[in-house]
Amino acid sequence: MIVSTRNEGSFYQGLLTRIGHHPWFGQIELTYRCNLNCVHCYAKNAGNCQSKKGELTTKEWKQIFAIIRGAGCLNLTFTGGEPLLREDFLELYSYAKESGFIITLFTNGSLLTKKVIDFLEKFPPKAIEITLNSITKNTYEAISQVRGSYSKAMFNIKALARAKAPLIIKSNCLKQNKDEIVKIKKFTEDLLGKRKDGRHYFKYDKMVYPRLNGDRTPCNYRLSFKEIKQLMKEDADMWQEYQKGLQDIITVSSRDNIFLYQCSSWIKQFFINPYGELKFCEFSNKFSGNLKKESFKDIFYRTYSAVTQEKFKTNSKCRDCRLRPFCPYCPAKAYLETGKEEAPVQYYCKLAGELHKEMQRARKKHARNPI
Amino acid sequence: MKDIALRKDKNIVTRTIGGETILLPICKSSDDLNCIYTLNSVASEVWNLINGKRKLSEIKVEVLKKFDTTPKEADKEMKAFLNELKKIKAIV
Repeated sequence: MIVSTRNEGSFYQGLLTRIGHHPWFGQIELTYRCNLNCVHCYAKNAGNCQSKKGELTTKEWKQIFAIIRGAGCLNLTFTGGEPLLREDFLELYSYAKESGFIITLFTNGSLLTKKVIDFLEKFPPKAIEITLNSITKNTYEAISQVRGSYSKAMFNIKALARAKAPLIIKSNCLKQNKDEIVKIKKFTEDLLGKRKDGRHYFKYDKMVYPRLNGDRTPCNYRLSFKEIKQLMKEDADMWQEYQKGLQDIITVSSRDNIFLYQCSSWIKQFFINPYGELKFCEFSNKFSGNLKKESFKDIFYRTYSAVTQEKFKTNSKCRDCRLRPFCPYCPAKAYLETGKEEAPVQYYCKLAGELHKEMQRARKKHARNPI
Repeated sequence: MKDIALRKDKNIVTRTIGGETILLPICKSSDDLNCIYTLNSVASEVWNLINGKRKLSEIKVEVLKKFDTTPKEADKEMKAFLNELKKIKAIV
C-alpha cells in the first residue's frame, strides 16, 4: 500500500522500536485555575491558582506548540486546572489542531458553551474526557463544592453526546461516591453505548494522590483495598477486569533496582505547567526547567539523562521490596505523600500486600481448576 | 489520468515524524479519528509536489528523476496513490 492507514498504537510502536527516547506525548496544563473546588483534586492550590498571574500568554503557548511540533511531538493533552477557563482556549486549541497534533481534552465539562461544542463537533479532538464523579446532584456538589455545577456538567455531557463527540466519562473512586461508580458507568453506557472495540466509554481511577503543594487532604477520601474490591464486585465488567488482572503476568522493570526511577513514562512524554515549566512527571518538579529560559530540547534530553542515572541514596525498604511489582510506589508520589522520595507510603504498602495475597490465592485456585 | 494540477485539502495536515510522512485529517469525517495515514517514499515525494499549480505530468517527471522506476510503473503508482488520496479526501 502506498498510503497505510494505521492506528496511533501501531504507528507509535513502530517508531518507539526504531527511535526510543522521543517527546511523543505532551500534557499541557493550560492553567491551574479551576471553577470547581473538588475535595480530592491533586492540582488544587498548585502554583498561583487564584489568578492568571505568571501563566503563559497565548503567544507564548503558540511558540511552545511550534517548538514541540518541530521536536516531533504528535499527541497533546489539554488539561488544567480547568483548561476552558482560559479565554483563549479555542484559539489555542485550533492552533494546535491546525499544527497537526492529535488532541485529547480533559475537562470537568461545566464551562463548555454552544460555541465551543459546535467547534469541537466540526474539528473534533481524539477524545474529550470529562470527569463526572456522581450522577446525583448532592454527591457531585459535595465533591465539587460548587452549587449549580452538577446541572451545568450534565447538560453539556448530554449536548456532547448528541453532537456525537468522542466523549469519555471518567470518575475518581472516593469515599463519597464509592456507591455510585457503577451507576456512573451505567449512565455512560445508556448515554454512549458500548464501544465496538471492546473498550469502554467509561474510565475510573482507583487512586487518589496528595496535592502538588504537599497537602494530604485528598488522602482522606481514598478507598481501602477492601472497598476497592467490593466496588469491582458490583459490576460484571469491572469484576472480570479485576480477575483478569490477578492472572496477568507481572512485569518486572528491566532496570537494576539501584535506580530510583523504574517508571518509563519519561521516555516518551513530557508535561508543561501553566508557567512554562517543562517536567518529566506530572507529580514532580524535579529536574524541571523553564521554557522561557531554556530550550525544549535542552531540558527534555537533560532530564532524560538525569532521570535515568538517579539512584537510591538511602537504604530504603522500597528498593528491594518484593512487593514492588504490585505497588503504586514511585519517588514522585512518595515525595508528595511523605516529603521524601525514598520513603515507603503506608497506604501503598497495604495495597501491594493485599494485592499480592489476592494474586497468590487466584493463582492457586487457577492451578487447581485450570478451566 | 488527466493531466491536471491538484490541490491539497486544507483540512489535512502533513507531519514528518521519525522520518515518516504522515497525513492527519483535522476536520470531522466518517473516518476513525484515531487513524494516521503514513506515506511511503514515492507517495511522500508526490504529496510534497502537489501544490495546486504543478500538473501531474510535471510531478511524474520529478518522480522519474528521483526514483529508479519506469514511466509505466510511475504512472501506475501515481494513479493508485491519487485514488487513495481522493478516498481519504486529502486532495481536491
